[in-house]
Amino acid sequence: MGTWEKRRDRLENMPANRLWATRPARRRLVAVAAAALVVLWAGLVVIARYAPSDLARNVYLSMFGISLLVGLPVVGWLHAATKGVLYLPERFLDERQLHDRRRAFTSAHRATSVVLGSLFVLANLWSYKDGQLTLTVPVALLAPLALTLFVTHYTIPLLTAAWRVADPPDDDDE
Amino acid sequence: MSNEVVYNRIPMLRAERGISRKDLAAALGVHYQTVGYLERGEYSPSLFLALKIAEYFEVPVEVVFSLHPFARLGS
Repeated sequence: MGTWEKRRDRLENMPANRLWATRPARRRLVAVAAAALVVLWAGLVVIARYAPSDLARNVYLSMFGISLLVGLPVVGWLHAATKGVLYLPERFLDERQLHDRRRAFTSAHRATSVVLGSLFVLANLWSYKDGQLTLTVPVALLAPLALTLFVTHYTIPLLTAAWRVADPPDDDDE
Repeated sequence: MSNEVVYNRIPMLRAERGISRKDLAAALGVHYQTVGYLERGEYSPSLFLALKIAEYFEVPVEVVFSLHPFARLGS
């Protein structure tokens, strides 16, 4: 059995899967993941507002830590709840799963465009503060901003897919 | 798209032949939940999958799938 087969089986058989078997439970999980993402973005505001300072560093690292502690397991559970639709290579997915995957990517592309567009607008508003076009951007903002954009880019398709996934059919049926 | 309902007789054919969802899914090369979603009418198969299902049950595709609800047995 190859690595991906093992990963697929592990996802299918995670004990926590029973907890996310219903749509409301999955959507609560999506909400928790979205909250972790918001915390990451809020950390950028702290840096932009207070860096360079110990306060900015300590508050940002705390927020980053919380986001990481909450986000990592939740992302794993979301991958399991969606049966690896966004995690597994395409050759391990059937036509319905591929359809779900492409639909999630399409919606996520729109959502990410909105995020990037909003960032552009905010950056411009920030630039025009006090009627000045000049802006001092803390260097400390660059790496966290890149990380946050990466995490957003990675997470939004998963959140979309998990939000939409229908309740699985009963296992029953013999 | 939501109005494009394709009705099917997969549960009946499966029950008639004593085939489990997992066995059918394995034979078709799809996830077992996909068979469940097909049966519940929450997913409409591609033409390829529809033909594979019909071939598996050895019946014409119109015996398995229809754009109109199937008449109930005895009606």
